Amino acid sequence: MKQSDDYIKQFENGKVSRRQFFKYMIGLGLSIPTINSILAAAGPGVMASTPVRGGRLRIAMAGGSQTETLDPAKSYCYTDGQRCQSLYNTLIRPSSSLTPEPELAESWEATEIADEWIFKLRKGVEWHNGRNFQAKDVVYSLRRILDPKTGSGGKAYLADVADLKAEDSHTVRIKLKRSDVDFPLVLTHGNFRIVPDGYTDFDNAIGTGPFKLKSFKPGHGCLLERNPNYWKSGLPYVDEVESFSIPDNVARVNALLAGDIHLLNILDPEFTNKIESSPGTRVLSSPSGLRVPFIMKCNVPPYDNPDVRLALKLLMDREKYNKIVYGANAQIGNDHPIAPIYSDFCDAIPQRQHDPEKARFLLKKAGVDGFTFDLHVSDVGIGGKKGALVYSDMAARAGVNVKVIKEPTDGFWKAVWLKKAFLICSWSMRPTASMQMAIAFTSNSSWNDTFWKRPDFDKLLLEARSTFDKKRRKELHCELQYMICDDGGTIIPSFVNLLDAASTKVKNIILHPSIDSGFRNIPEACWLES
Amino acid sequence: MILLLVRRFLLGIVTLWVASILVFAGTEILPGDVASAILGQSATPETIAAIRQQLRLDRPAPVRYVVWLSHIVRGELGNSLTTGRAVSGIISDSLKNTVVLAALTAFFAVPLSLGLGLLSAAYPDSLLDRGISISSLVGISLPEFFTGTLLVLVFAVTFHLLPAVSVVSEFSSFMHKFRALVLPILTLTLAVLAHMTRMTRAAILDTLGSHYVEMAILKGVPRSRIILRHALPNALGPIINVIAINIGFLASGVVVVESVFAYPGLGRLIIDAVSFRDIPLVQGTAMIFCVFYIGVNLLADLLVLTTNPRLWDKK
Amino acid sequence: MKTSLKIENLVINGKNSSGWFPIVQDVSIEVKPGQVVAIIGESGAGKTTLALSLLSYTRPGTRIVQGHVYLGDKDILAINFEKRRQLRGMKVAYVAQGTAAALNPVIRLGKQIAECLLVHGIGSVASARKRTKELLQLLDLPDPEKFAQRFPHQVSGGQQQRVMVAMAMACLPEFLVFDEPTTALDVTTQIEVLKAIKAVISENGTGAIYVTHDLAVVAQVADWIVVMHDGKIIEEGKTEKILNNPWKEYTKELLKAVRLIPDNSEYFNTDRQKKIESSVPVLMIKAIRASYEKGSWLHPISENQHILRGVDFSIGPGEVVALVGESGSGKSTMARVIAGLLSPNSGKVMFQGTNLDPMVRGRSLDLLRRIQIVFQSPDTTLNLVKRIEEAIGRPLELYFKMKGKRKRDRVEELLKMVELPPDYADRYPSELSGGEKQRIALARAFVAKPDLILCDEVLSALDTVVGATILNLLKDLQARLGVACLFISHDLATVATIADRVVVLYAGRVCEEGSTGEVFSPPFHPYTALLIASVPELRCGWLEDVLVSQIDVKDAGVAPMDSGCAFRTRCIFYIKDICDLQAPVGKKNSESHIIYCHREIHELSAVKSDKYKMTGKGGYRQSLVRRCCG
Repeated sequence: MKQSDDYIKQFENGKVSRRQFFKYMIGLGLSIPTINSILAAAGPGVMASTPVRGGRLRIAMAGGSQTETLDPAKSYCYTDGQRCQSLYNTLIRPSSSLTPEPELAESWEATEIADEWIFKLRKGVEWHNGRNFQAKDVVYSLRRILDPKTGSGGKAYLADVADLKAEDSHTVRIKLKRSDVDFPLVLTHGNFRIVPDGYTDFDNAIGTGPFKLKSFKPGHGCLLERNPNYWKSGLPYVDEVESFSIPDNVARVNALLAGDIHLLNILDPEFTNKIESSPGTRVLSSPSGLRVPFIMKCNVPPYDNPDVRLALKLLMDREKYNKIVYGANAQIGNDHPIAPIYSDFCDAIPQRQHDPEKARFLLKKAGVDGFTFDLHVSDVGIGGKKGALVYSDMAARAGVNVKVIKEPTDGFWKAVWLKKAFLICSWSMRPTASMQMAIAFTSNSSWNDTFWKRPDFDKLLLEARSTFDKKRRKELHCELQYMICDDGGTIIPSFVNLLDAASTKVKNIILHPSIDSGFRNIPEACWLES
Repeated sequence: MILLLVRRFLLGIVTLWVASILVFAGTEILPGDVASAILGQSATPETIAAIRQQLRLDRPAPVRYVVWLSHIVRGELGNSLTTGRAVSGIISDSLKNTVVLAALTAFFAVPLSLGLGLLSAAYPDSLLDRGISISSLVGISLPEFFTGTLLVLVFAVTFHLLPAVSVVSEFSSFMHKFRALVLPILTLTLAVLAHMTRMTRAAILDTLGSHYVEMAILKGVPRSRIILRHALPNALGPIINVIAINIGFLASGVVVVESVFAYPGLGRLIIDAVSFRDIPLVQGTAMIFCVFYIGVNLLADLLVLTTNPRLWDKK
Repeated sequence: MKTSLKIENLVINGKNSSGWFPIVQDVSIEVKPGQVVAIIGESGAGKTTLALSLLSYTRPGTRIVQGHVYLGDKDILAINFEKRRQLRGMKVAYVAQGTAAALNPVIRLGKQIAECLLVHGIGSVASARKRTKELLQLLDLPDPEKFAQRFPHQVSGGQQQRVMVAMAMACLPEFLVFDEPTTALDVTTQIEVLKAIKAVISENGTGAIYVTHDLAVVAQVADWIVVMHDGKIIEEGKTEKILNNPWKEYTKELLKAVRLIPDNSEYFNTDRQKKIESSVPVLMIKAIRASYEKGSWLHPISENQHILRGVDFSIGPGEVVALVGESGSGKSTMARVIAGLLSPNSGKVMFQGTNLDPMVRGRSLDLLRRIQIVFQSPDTTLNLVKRIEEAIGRPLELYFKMKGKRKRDRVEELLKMVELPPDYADRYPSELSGGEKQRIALARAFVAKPDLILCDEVLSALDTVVGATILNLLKDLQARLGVACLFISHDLATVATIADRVVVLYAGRVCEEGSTGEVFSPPFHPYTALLIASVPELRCGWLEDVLVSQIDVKDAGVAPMDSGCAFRTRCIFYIKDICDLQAPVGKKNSESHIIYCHREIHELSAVKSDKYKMTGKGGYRQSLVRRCCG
């Protein structure tokens, strides 16, 4: 592994882009989770030359507006998430292989059927105002989420929580309505960051995180300063973090190229070459579970015919699609929502191949030869519009007529999604494979946008949720993935890598294939080259 | 003349009132609502219903308009739907930034365009005139986002002379703010320069063809004095009006430029507000734009009046 | 010491769509110091182009091809730009025609005069101001201090023209170039300006070139006359010689075309009038009041915002009634009211015994046919992209439903009637001269077989010779077709030759009304007397004669008053208190002749018909009258 160590060094020094690095590592026969864990394990210690303290890290975010908030329960955009990440901590954080890792919770255990959980909290953690972190803070924070008046988007994730209480000053017991072996992973969600008991004044946020709030003006910017008493000793390295939003994609890239900022999120795939070829900047590409799927309503003809659905899936040339739409910054999908980064990803299902002959045959068989498939698409979802055109072209080559109808991004979720029979939308990543499938594919979910209803699927999913045995659970999940792949109403050509970009001055960047934009963790451990 | 001014002022108020109807109607017909816009996929029927009730959307539109108008005239812009903060408070910071940008642009662009226009008119059809004409035409025909991006590529990305984005906040230094504003001002200046320059040139040339200018030539008045003292004051009417139109345009131009340079001004604010369906914020910001535009035109009328003695005696 | 101005073999070309063509052809003129040379000719003769070359200036689109202009022994056409600038205003100064356009509207008058001194580096700002005041005083302008602070639009046309003269005189140039300085003015104002011009010329012994088409004016100012036609000099000679004994046919024609007021009252036809009065009038104007201001209940229109303030008169069938007065008297406003373009605030317009709708849109097609209007400038009424056939044919279609050959035949017939060849039907207006266009306008009016024709200053835009032929044509057509006619004009001489009856307007009121013979002979209303006396006569010395009379030229021009007699400020018969407070009532001299004046008829009879000479206030400085006819 001498060679790969060198390569890791090169990567770390910014000489090799992340994409090149991954290519190289995959060339060595490593899977992506493995590569990520190599990087994570390399950590500050290995990748570090000599950490440098000080400096102001400047971050530009794609989102952000007047609605910006420092209340983690309400944070939903990247900008909010990035700031909350630095101000607060969650109980548990996802590892690079999407397994739960201790954060404010040091350890946890569950009952036999996983319907009751006990979390032991870390001791000696201090709030920014000097008070000690305790169990009541956790209870308050999670109860806030459950309170409908708070209006937290995370409420749905905690729907199974039946009871929540502090056992002692550093123990929290959570009772669930039904089994969920993945519950600790649920707590990694950004809305569940822990705030002090009784706290409401979020414009003057108090957290346990690596940075303290210095100044914040919604829509204008936010300045954080180093928390010298951070419980992860030695961290962070930079003195200040300034973050603001630059909604325009081109402007954001220009700002990085001009050296105005150190980091940006949501890099338009169009600019990856530009960033990579420019000295001093690099692309941060991390595989994720984000998908931009084609949705077919299974209760509307002709999509109610499984043959039609399969035919439309077979029309997709995934290799080509990924290359054209995402410049290969994506993982190939297999028409089910579980990305390869999940440990429960089923590699036993054969990859669906491009088969226009069979597609045409199936359409003829279904009696919809010559039918025009109206595909509704908007700018919701990265590469959606381009993808629709690429797909339409692939279909046309096979003699199938797919007509692309462009819809306004504004109001897409209200007027198009769940309404039109064939469309392209966007699904963000959920912390667990189970949640990923539950939210979009179970019969009673209001967000089941394919209207694909299979009682056997629902039953199997519930069974998996209470199965502790990892091997058995993986088998069950595999079965579920196969059902969606085979019969479901969605074409998932790819899982889009989270693309961000950084200045090579920023050292020690640790990327997570997390549910959110990859670099939110960066300020905690990075340093700026002087 | 006082009467004329009062009449213009009243007309401005009426225009503002009509604008308020349009703004209100415009926000009425925006598809979607704040709940689904904010929550996106996470919107649930119950939260949407709650917001609708909170907004009193159940009442008929004319009633809501009258209520809204009665608040507006008292200067109450209401609270933002997305943040709950007072709209006036949210607007004030952005307004300050936009005013600084627009004012500085006007400060540079107006004298510059007047100067270039005068030069062009002084040497019509010369190489200089053609140069100014062509370059200002190029300036006007390129959209601001293009010139803006081009300037960024040259001055920020390639030569690292100036920042690529104009993110300014309370913790940016004066020097930083100043440097940050150079490119947006340049972009806006290029966008408005051509129109004003060409109007100045045309208006001056027009008056240069008049009898009193010929008379001035025959009196032996030097050319520079003819242009500055004889032609310019008479050409001011149309020039002032075009300047007013362009300063008014600055208000809309900043929307694009603020987006390109990520400048936290009113333009950014209104884009955000629209995309979040934050109706009170959209309405408040739109009314500010209207007041600005009508105010500028009123001011122009006033200036035209003061530069034209023939109107002084009029009732 | 004094130098002369000499033009030698000058050729100036102008440019039109087909290329360069000569405007001035091989002209040579010499102006000796202190001499006044008049250049006369009709429009298009190249007079102005020639005049401007004396300041080494050509308008855009003209160029000097050959020749020299010597000031002393220096060829001013061959000097550089800066030298030329120093020449203009300093050595040779220019007085332009149409002063309203030639004065800068946004610069105060005093500054415009002082500027002449300052740009030539003469004295300081303070001394320039002092000199400005002197000039204003010299030109008899009221209250120089205040006057200097005014803007051009705030003073009368005559005052503007005098400011122009003051500007020209500022640097005491060796030569002055006058370009039709009185053409746009009323006769009364013309006297005031002529007086000023004579004053400055004689004061400094300045040489001058005086460009005009008006021979009667030339007679008053020039020592030497140069007659130009088509860019060439036709004839030149001493003023008296040219006026009394011209050689060339063209000059004779010019002289013949000058319209003068006949001094023989027998000339006027009174027979027809008797016959007319018995029948129902075609048009009856009753107590018409009109204003361009729009009043509101908050701000009602004040008395002096009214242009017409209670006008009564009538026109019988086949009668020609002339409406005369200075500009601002309300003549054209009256025409607009009758035409239905301006709604009167009160009063009635009756046509053939019935009430006429105040606005044109309320009138029937037949009524529109019965009243036709001919305007001053045919260019504004002829559609430039339509052939003449359509211009004349349109009313035929509209009123008589004529089409095709019948229409064409009628058009050709009408063209013949206005003495134009039938093939003119296929021409466009741009291919016609001004006189021809006015003939078309007449044809178009007569084609409708109207009962009444309104002629609003139909001759004013035309040259004298052309105007004379149009006038004859109009007279002829009117007599032949028996149409009633309202003839609006500021030109008393023209009125005298065509009208059966005359209505004299002043400041929106009738001040005298009667048959032409009665109005042009005593007793006169003082205003009528002033107007008649102000019409220049074609003889030397007329101006001097007038100036020793007591026409007060200082405040010529119509000034509306709130109460009393509007003319009182200019009236030689002014009676204190009575004229100030009461509007005069009509006094009948005969059944048809009414004079609106506080004076009795017998008092007014004391005014002489020809000279307007009265004893009393005394004349003007004799020095002004010193020179005439060389």
